[in-house]
Amino acid sequence: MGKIIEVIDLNKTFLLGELSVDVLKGINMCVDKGEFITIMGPSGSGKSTLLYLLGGLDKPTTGKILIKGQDISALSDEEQSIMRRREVGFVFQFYNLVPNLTVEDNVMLPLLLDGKKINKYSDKLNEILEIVELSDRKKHTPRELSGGQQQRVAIARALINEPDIILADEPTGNLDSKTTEEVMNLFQKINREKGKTILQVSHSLETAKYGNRIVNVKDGRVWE
Amino acid sequence: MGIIVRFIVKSIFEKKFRAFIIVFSIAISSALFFACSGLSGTMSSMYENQIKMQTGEADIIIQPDEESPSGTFKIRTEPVEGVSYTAGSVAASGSYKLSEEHSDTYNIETENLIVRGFSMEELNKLNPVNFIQVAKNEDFEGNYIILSKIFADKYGYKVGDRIDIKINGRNKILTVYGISRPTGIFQHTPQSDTMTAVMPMDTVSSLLNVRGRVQSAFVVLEEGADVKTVTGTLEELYPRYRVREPFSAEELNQYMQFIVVPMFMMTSMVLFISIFIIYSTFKVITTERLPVIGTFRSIGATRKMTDIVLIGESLAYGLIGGVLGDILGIGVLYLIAKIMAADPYNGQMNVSVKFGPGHLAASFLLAIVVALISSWRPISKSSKIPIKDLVLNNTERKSSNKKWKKYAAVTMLLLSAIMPNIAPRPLALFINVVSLLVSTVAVVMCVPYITKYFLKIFERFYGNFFGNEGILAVKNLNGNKNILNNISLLAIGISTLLMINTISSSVGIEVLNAYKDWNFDIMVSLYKSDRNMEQILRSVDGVEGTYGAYESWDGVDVKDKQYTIRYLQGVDIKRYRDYVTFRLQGKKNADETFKLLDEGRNIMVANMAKQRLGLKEGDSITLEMKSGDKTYKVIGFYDSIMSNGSNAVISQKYYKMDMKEQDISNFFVKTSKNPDDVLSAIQDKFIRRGVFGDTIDSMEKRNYESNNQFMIILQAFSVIAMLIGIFGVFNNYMISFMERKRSIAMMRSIGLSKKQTLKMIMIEALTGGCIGGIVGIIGGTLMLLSVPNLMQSIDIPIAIHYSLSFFISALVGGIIIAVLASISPALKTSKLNIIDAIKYE
Repeated sequence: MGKIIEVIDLNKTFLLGELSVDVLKGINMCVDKGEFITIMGPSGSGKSTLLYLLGGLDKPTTGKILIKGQDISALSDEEQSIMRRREVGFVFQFYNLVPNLTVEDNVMLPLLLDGKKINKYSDKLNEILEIVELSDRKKHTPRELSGGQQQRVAIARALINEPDIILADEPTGNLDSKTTEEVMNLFQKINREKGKTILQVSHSLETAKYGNRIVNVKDGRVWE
Repeated sequence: MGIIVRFIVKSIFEKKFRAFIIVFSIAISSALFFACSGLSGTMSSMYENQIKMQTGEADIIIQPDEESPSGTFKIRTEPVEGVSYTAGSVAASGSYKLSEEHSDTYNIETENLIVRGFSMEELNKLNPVNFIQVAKNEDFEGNYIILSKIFADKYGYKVGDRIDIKINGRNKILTVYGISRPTGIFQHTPQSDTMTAVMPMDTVSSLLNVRGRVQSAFVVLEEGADVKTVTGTLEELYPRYRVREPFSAEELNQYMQFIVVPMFMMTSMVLFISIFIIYSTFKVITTERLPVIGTFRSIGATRKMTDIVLIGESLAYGLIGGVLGDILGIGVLYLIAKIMAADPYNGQMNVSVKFGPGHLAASFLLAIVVALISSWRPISKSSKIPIKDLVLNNTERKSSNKKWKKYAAVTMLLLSAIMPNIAPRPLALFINVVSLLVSTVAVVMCVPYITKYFLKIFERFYGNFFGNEGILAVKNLNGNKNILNNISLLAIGISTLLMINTISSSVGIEVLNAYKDWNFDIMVSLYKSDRNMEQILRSVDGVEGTYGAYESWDGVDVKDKQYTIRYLQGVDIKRYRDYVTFRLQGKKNADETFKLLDEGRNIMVANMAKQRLGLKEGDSITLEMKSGDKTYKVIGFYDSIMSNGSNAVISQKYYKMDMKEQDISNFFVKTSKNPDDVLSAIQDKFIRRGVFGDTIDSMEKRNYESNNQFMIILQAFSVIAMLIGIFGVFNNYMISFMERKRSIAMMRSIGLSKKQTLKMIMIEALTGGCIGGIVGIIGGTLMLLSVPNLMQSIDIPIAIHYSLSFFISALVGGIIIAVLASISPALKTSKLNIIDAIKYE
């Protein structure tokens, strides 16, 4: 399998008032296409920061991140946005759905942002909602769904544009154990059946078991 | 307690713009209320002072009017019980020809003067002259004149100088007896046209050929004498002359009603907007405070204690707003008084505001009540949240689909449309004002439904216009409470502004139309006028034609109807319509209808009077006329706003008989030369008889100025309403930005670029502004539909003239305000840190 993500000498420094904090220190790592990686580490270790940098939500202080061979830190805002629409799907701990939009509107958002005619994607929408088992909740708003259902909507949204990479920040951090199991099974299914590369941040070894590789982040460095 | 106060103060200062908007709304509402409630007293005092300047100590004035046999009269010498003394006066018009040097400087050739004749002894008792310089050891007799300081300074005169003045067309060389400060009868402001000079009584009356007679008698009463009783006695002594008090508080109060009622109406609109803004802002405040309230409650604070914190904050805004409102109110009252002081009918008045502690207390109290009432519901709602939900931050407000609101809004709209039409007369004003406010509230309640409907329409074609960002914008707007609040605020502000501007322009058009109906140039009134007098009038150079009008402006009561026809005309059916455009209602033939007037006691009634009396053709009305009750048959109706639409037309033949009136009341004069010059010639010709006259242009100008003055104030009120609305819109966009940070950050995380963010927010603003403008137009039109009823309830008929340009401006204005207000939040949104916004709520 080919490399889909390559991280080279990645550093990230935050300024907290006058204090400068090195969150990530010279990270190098590679991710092959189709891997399901769990990034683990204690609180404040920099695992979420690493995930956001991989997704182009933040810029590294130094170093490079290559997605499919392209250095994303060198991209303009417009190019980065397009990369996020097409190459990456995000899933967050608190789902981050738009509360006043219906399930189908929330799922279709990436298509809308990509300038696509959404009425041509109804089959695709139905297919994805079937995968996440929410076909009967299409017209509901997030307020009318349980936590697990909301997270499944977020996963469907991450899949609609068929990105090769799914980045998930503690996707089960807000769910009970039964729902966690359901969501993790879904991720595993997507990884195995659709061949998507998944990187999830998690504190839980239980959820890490669903993946095929664990990356530990401690004191800003990567340990495998 | 100290901790709570510190917490409140800190909370207020943390969000300065929000605190400013709340305090500003409260202060403006309370200031406008203060100004409205203090206006009557202030204007009464100003009018009283103005009149006192001219009439001094006089308690009663006797003057001739149109019914008097002559323009002058003799003061009766017999003692009258209660009268201390009576001072007589005559007046003539004078003009001073400027030197070439002065003429170049001031760009006029002559300075007009009112020359008043007084005996110095009487004048000193009645209204003492405030001399700067005065001739010593000289009696005020013969060819002396007292000038005002303004005149003397302007043209370089001092005591003892000779001055040439043309009085009633005759040149007189006079000696300056004294220079007076511009107070009392010499009061003059740069805004007023004519200055006053005083000459000895005998000299002026000789010039007018009325020696021993006066034009005005100023009666000063003994202490304790009853004005009404003495007035009665004097009315018997001077039968056909007008005996009155110099200042009628009752009449003024009635006049002030016309001004104060619409002002209170505008204040209630401002109040409504303020309550709306404070209410929506307090909803945000309580939501923000919930975690703190949760903390307080979890460590033992009672519900009452946490309520006190929020009520305390609201009270603090009320107190600050109340104090500022009182201060601002004095300023607003002064400004209104200053505008009203330039009275086109009574001259420029000195501006002085009058108010008492009661006014200050009432508006201060209003500020506190507004603050507490507006914040009560958000506070009580947050107070009901269980402590467990507060601690677990499980406080998201579920939006319930309250169908009753829709039905309530429709019911309110219907009621506000129906009630004014069926309101009984005594309650008409109250019901009309309430209906107007209710219709505004109903429109605001309809905003979510109207918005939803418009968004459905926009969604269909926005994709083609604006791309997917347009569709996204519409989706974001759906159910967004801040945008709905903005639409409501824009709608109220725009509808108020639209209403006032349309009324203002309609009044202008109506006034113009009313005077357009008069196809003559001058209206002249002469004492004891008959056909001979008309012949003399026709001989004046420039007079092309005359019509002798028999008319009464004093009013004729309609028997058993509690209604007075203010303006009754007895018309010459052959010539009347050459001078006045008569707008007969329906398809009747005007010639034939006019012929009917002469064939019996037939009457045509103006539409306003028709409505008030509930008349139809063929009905009979009995008029209480001078020769007794006379019954007239109604033969037609016509459009006219003269005397506020309270007018009627009968035949001249019956008018003379029934009103026992043989003298012509007024002459309508057509001119072949400049009407001002012709009027001067008429005044010169009839000076000894006493002549009242004015050109139609000047009457129209004064009427327009008088209306305009009032409209400027109402427009200012509506601009304030709009201004508060704009502040509210800015605030809502900022609140919306805070609330949507996370949603937008999420969209950014899935690929929304900065450019797309800006575009989307701008489309949202454009759409919100557009809907706000449209709802504003709907609201404004609804208000305008009820305005004629409202104005009729205070006996002012008005036809509304809708203007397309106002409607377009309202729409464009709404869009511009919304787009401008969204620029700052849009820029902030596009720059927001995605990770911070996503991770932390």
